[in-house]
Amino acid sequence: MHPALWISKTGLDAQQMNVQVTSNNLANVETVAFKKGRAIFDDLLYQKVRQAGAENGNNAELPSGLMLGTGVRVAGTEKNFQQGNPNRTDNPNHIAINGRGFFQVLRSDGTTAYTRDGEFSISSTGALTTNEGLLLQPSITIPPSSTNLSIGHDGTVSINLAGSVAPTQVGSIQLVDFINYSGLEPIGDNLYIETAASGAAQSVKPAQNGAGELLQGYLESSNVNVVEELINLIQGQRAYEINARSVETADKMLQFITQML
Amino acid sequence: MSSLFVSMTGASELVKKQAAHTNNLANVSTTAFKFDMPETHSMPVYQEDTLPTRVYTGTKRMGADFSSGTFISTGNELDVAIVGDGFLAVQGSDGQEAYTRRGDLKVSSQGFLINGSEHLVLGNGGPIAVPPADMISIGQDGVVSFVPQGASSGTYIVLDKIKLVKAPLEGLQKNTEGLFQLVAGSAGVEEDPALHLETGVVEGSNVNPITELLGLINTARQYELNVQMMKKHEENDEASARIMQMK
Repeated sequence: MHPALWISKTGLDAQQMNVQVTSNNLANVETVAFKKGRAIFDDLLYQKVRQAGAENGNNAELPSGLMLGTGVRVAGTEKNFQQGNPNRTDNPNHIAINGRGFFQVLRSDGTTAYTRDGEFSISSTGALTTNEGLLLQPSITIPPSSTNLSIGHDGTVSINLAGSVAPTQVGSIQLVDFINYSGLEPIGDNLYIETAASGAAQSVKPAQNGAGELLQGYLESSNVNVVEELINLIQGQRAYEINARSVETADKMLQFITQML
Repeated sequence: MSSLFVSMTGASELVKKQAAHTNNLANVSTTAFKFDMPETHSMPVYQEDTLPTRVYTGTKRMGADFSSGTFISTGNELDVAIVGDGFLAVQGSDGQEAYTRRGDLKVSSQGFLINGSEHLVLGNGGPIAVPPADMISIGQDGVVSFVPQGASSGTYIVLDKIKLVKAPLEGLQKNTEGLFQLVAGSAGVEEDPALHLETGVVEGSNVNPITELLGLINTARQYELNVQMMKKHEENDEASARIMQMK
């Protein structure tokens, strides 16, 4: 059948995924520490229709070969780990990372996941947990009836015990860093897990060796730029329409030949 | 009936041309895609002592248009776009050096610098291996430097320089992976110090949807003309058959 039909089908598929990625970014415009995604397009293999210099009979020689493209695919979606704005919330349990690094949390299956969402809560046992109740690692326990929870730029967590004037250190928050953030696999709930592409997690202290500092009372906002996403949406929609037009044209050509001959 | 075959080659080559236009339109969002320009040419097959009527159609090697696409800001520090008429040298799957303008770079799981289509980016010393690093940076001149893991920040070590070349455009041909390779007999590439990189941006596709849509419509109409001609040949055939019947 007409090759253009299948080529435009790949175009329609790819643009549909493009709009899907853009919609997901827009849906997460208010998600704490959300990192926007971008669909990466890659042209498909080229088909060698004719080799240059081949004999074509009657001493006619093909002066040059012909390579026909076969369409497009979405090679992947890449997260952009640009820093989101630290927004002040005044909640002492909220921590934003200003710079590189991730918090480590313990998943229910015993594996470690990584997040930049610092919207922590204190569980019934006094441990710092995420919104989903996953424990921050290494775990920090806040003793009951303590006051003035204070988290330093370097991750030191201190509190004032009841009746005591001097602050007591109860632990310190550690971060991890990866060589290739784009290789991290997002698993939802603002969590990421490491993959072969991201490299192994390297433990770092906040505000040291290039790691970001911690800001208590702040949350990192989503790094989605609404204007950019809306433009992507328009572009994706138009590109979709253009590919649909290719389908229509190829269809008309086939229709024409079946009716004429 | 040779004329029927002449129209047939016209129609079937136009289907290929249509495929090329459709492929350009499908790649309207592909990073640094260079659109193909399908061209048809005449392939005369004359025999001695006959009328020169058989001129078949052939589709020529498609040249690509090398004009630059729009630069799109991504904010990703490893994304580079080439300012000027140059190419990045990459290694194709066949191990040969090939050229592309696609510069959405990243570090592969094996620790090599690759671009968005997963081809190894070549430096002056072959593929660029990036050791475990806290920071990787690409300069405007293509110099890749890194801060070793755990080192005190600020001490960048130069790793290699991305091979930026100027290539003879008429000697470049797309291979099956969509990378540009030099055709045999063309002049070689040369490194050009005037070329530089813009970081934090990628080059968009250079497909102009309007031109391609026009090409699509134009090709469809030419195709219909050829099919009409085939219809005429059929009518002529029928007419000659009727003459035979009258006899």
